[in-house]
Parts: sequence; structure tokens; C-alpha cells
Amino acid sequence: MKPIIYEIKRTLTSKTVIIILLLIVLFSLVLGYALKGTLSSANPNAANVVNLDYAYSIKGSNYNLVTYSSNGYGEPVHDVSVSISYNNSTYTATSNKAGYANLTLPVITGKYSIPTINYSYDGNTISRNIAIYANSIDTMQGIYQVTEVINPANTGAYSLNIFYYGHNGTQSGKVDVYYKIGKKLQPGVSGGGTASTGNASESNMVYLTSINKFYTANIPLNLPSSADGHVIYIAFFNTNASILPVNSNMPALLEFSYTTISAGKIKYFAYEGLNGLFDFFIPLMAIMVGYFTYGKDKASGTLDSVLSKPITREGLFTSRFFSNIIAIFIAITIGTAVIDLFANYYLGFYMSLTSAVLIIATFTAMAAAYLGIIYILSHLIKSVSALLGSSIVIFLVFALFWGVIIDLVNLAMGNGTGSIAYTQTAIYLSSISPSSLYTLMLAVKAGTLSSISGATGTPSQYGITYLSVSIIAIIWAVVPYITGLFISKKMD
Amino acid sequence: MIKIKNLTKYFKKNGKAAVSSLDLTINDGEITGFAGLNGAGKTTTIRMIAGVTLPSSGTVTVDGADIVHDKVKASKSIGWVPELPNFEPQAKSISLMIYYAGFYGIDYKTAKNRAIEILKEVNIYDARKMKLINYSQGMKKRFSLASCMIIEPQNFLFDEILNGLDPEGIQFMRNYMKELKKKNKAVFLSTHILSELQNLADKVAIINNGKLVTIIKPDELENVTKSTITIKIKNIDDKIMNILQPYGKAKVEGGEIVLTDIQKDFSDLNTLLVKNNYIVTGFSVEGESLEDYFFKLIGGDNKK
Repeated sequence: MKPIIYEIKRTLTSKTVIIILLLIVLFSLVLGYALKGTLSSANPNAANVVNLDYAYSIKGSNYNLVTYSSNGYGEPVHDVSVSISYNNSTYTATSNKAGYANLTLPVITGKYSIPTINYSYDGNTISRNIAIYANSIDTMQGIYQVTEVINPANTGAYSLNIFYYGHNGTQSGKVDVYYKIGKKLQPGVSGGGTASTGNASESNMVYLTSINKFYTANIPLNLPSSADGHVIYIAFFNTNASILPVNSNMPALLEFSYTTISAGKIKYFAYEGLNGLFDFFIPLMAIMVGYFTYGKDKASGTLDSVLSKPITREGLFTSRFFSNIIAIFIAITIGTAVIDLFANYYLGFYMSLTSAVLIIATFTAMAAAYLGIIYILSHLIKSVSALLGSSIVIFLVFALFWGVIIDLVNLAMGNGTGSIAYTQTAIYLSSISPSSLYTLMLAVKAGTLSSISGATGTPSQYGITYLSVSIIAIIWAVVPYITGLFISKKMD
Repeated sequence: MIKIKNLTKYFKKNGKAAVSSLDLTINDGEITGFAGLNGAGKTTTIRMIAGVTLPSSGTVTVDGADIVHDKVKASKSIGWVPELPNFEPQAKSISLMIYYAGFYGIDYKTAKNRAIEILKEVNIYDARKMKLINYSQGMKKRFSLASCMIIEPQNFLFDEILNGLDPEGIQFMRNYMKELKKKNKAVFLSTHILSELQNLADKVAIINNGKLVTIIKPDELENVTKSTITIKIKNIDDKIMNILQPYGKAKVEGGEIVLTDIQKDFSDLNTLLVKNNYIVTGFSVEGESLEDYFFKLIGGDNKK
């Protein structure tokens, strides 16, 4: 049997590798579940959410109250029980297939009412107050009631669900829908409701679509990706280019937060999660494997029993190193495959072959770097306990606290978070820790610096490209190995 | 055959040499003893010969191959049993021997069969399912020997091999070394227990403070370890010489008989003389042991 086969088997079946692999599987299970939770909270099961819009008109001595029930996708919901307590009486109706329910209420001259309207669906009852004005001017007619709903064709995106009931029950005429992108969404900043029209006009907004002759309409919000993560303003213009009332009886802009949950974004979250998971466990695995199969064997004298056999020092060094790397490569591949299976189970996607190759190659290079460092230390430190202590320090500094060190260095240099100086420093420091390899690779893949500094701009502006990250990865994978090999040949 | 020339080892720059300019040849068909006090440099020398420690200078050639520059070839001819063998603790004997066999290019099946055969020979086959971490020191030494035997090399290095062995183990190792000698193998046996060398070695190299003090050659070894028997007898006559002749050279000196060049076991001599009606008033055995000789060589200051 080739000794390297034995050494690969020894590494793969070691307690260290098995326990870390189990932890990777366990944490990927948790990660998948958490991502599913994120997705669910962002896109609730919209079919179960019922919105109720209403409008009324006066016909003789009665109000004709029309309600429109729709779900979170903007689809009409039938069999919604609508009841209203008004003038000491209760009036009820049930929505038809188009989502409409009609109620006839008596006009009480000179009286302004805010009755409670209840609507029930599938055992749930929701109450809201509505305003009924007691004069002939029906302020709740001719207002575009707009709700941001989930796009049923793409549950990670949005649609505008519009209900319109014109004077005397007429349909809407032609409406031109425009939008403009507002502030970037930050924690604590969100859009919602209506906003003042300000100086909004067709000329300083972006045309989205036109709709005509409708009571209800659903407009998919196919906005550019630059709109993602921003406040969005929507305006309805009539044929005279005047802004129409939206959700209120005065001309207004509809304001809402626009954050899509695209498949790519879910994958990015998954990869970031994978990054965090592997960034912790792969260095740990490489350091422990290097310590247990080479360093400890060397310091305790166990390696001498092998070295007395027909093998050179550098041959033994290389044989152990590559058997370790092959075993870790297999472990990373297994871990990635398991995570991918969980991702598919929870999130419904498999990662692309390119992504899988990038993940496996980057983390294998990272493992080679840590392994090489431990092998070098094994030749410089003679005591088992001192070697173990040094290995732990290497893990703590480079794998666990490197991000903190980057922040501290930036703080000491007075670089503000997200600034160019901060980003450049973060990139330089990331390049000198093997643990940052995947962070850099992920930044290139996603085309964003969010994983490095949160700065705007692209990684390529800072020289972070597939080529440069690959060169860094190769340097990390090769230099510690070559250095260790040289030391092993020259030193006991 | 192992040839050591000018072998030197420094563990620290500008420090004291652990081994200094050592020249020695370990011949085939001989057991070469290597004696010295603890810390004299025996283990360092053996580790350099085994290729596990790099010499600072000098050469070690094993059957013509340099242990540093042609290590693979040299190591194929060496079996090394260290004083305190250390193995992969979680391994089991057969799988580890198969691993070792891989370095000699032996295929899995052959290696497994050979491992079973050897483990039976060194009497640790019953422990094959135990992890090596649970082996006693004696069992580890037997396993270490077994791992050398997988190809039966031409040269054997035994470093304090008899330490920590039970009587059965000591007997086994003595017999095994004698067998190796019969097979024309070169055996290098280091020990600080000189009485062992007295019975086994063909020559003994004495090392002290990293330097070779002397090599006691076979004829010298014989003289060094010969005893002298002094017998006091009241009624000496001519016939007594006939009785003493088979035991060695006897001569009468001042009323005493001095027996030298002992040829056979003399444990029954006193009884034999009494049976033949000689009045024995004194019977003393004197002689310089290897140990005495060793301390004489290295100087009294080193004697503890």
C-alpha cells in the first residue's frame, strides 16, 4: 500500500476531521434553516394575507359601499365576510369571485361617521375604521388605493396592487405610472405611506407603465437593480401630466421600501453564511490536522519511527502535507455538497458548478496556508505544548480576530467606515491573512465590497479581481509549503 | 556494514558537541557494543546512523550509501529499535506495519501476511487489536523490532534495547541478536549496562563526553573479561594438576594454586577437590570486569 493512501485515510478518519465535518453539517443545517426563515419573513405566505380597500358613492338616499378584498399577491379573494356597524345596525356582505362586496347603507344627513368595518377570512377577523362623510361630496371616490404586494410571478419582487372606484362607480381613465429612487435604506430609515408631491413631475421621474380602464390593476415593479435597497416614490399622472391622489384624497406620491429577495441575493446570503461557517471551521481543521498528524508526531518523536524508513525528510514532509491537503479537500467537498443539499432543501436552489469550484478551491488554498504555517512551526518549536499553544494563537489571530484587527488598525489610522482609506486598508490586511481569501473571492463574485468594508464601488476599483485573488490564494497555498520544505531539509 | 567517519553533532551553535569526530566501523557478522554513561552521546550517534538526526559534519555510510545524501537507499539497509519507541498512538500493529511496508514497495497483501508472521514471531500477535498507545514499553520494543523485520535489513541498531524488558524479553532479544550475527548481519548495540555487552558483543566501542575513548577488540575483550581463581589447599600433591588441567592453566605459587585462562565452567571445582580428599581452605575468584575496565578508561571522576 502506498504510504500516502494510509496517511490520507488516517487524516480523514481522525477524530478532528470527523468532528469538524459533523459540525459543518450541523451548522449548515442551522444556516439553511435560518436563511429559509429570512426568506419567509421577507416574503410571507402572501396567499393568507388579506387586504381590504373600499370606496363608496351616493345613490339617492343610500351609500353604495364597495369593498375589494385581495391577498398579498394582489389577487382577489372571494368569500371574505364583510360587516359594518353603522347607525346602530350591522350590514353584511360576502366578496364575490372578483373580490368585491357591495353594501347599501342609509345616508344620515349632516352626520359624519367613522364606523368599524370587520372582514373575516379563513377564521381570522380584521377590523379597521373607515370614514364616511355625510355630504354629497364623496371623498372616497376617484382615489387610487395602492398597495405594495408580492409579485406572484417572482416572489422575491413586488407589484403594485391598485383599486380604483370613480365617481358614480366609473372605471379609471388612462394613468401614467412614474417612479423615482429615493434614499438608500439604512437601519432605522424606511419608507411607507404617502409623501408630498414636492416638485415631482413626469420630467424628473422615470416612466414605468401606463394603465387604462380599470377598477383593479396589478403592475409588476420591474425596477432596475440600482433601486434595490432604496426608498421608492411612485406617482400616477393623468393625461394632463397632473399628479393624482394616491391613498389619500390629495395628490401624493406613494412611498415604500424596495428590497427585493432575488435568487441571487439568497445565494449571496448562503455564500456569506458558508463563508462564515468555513472561515471558522476550515482553518480550525487545517491547524488541528497539521498539529495532530505532523507537529505533534514531530515534537513527540513519533515521526522518527517513520523517518527511519526509506524516505527523505522532504519526502515525508511532502507526503504528510499532501495527504493532509487531499483529506481536507475531500472534507471541504463533502461539507460543500452537504450544504448545497440543505440549501436546495430549504431554499430551492443548487449552487452553480463555478461557485462550487470557487468555494472548494479557495478554502483548499486557505487550508494549505494554515497547514504550511503549522508545519513550519513544527520544525521551529520542539515542545508539544508550546506547539499546541502557538497553533491556537495562529487560529485566534488569523482566523478568529482578523476582522477585529482590521477594524482596530483602521480606527488607529482614523479611517472612517466605508471610506476609501478604510477599504484600501481592509483589502491590504485581508491579503495577509489566509482567512480572508474567501471574503475577497466572494467580493469579486458578487461585485460588491459589502463583505469587506461596506463601501460603495466595485472590488475591481481596488484591484480585487479574480486574477489578483487567485494570485494571493496561490501564494498562500505555496509559500508556507515551500518554506516548510526548506526548513525540514535543513533542520532536525 | 556501517562506516562512521568524523561524525559530529552540535545541537546548539557554539555549544558543546554531543558527538565529536567519531570514527567507527560496524562489521557484518558482528555484534558491536556501544558503551557509555548516560549523556555520553550513544543515542545521538545511533539517531544519526538511523537518519533521524542530521549530523553537523562527518559521514555515515550504510552498505555504501550515505545516510544524508542517499537516505532512501541507506535506510533500506537499516533497522532501528530506539530506547523509547514512539508510534502513532491510535494505530494498530498490523495496519502500521502495512504502512511501513509501503516505504519498501511491498504490496498490501504481502505486507499483511508478513506483518502477521512477524508479530507472531516477536510474540505480540495477540495484541494486534490493541491500539499502540496501550502497549507496554516492552511490547513497543517488540513492535519496533517487528517493524524492522518487515524486510530484515542488513544492519540493526539497538539503542538500550534491553532496558525495561522482562527476563523473557531480555532472553528473547539476546537470542535474536545472536541469530542476526549468525545470519552475518551487522548489529550495533548501545547500552550503559556493560555486563550485557560482556556476554554478547564481539567488540565494544566506548564513548564518553561525545568522544570515542577506545574500541575494545575481540582478543582484548577476552582478556579483559577473564577471571583468575586462587585456591588454598593444605595437602597439595602432583595429582591435583590432573584435576585442574581441564579448567585452565594452573601453577603453584607460595602454597596456593593460581588458575588462569579459564576454559570451562568452574562452579563444580570446589566440590570436585573436596571429593578427592583435598583440604580446601580458600577459594576465591578475581577478575577485571568490563565495567571496571570501562571506568578505568574513562577516568575515576566519571564513576558514580
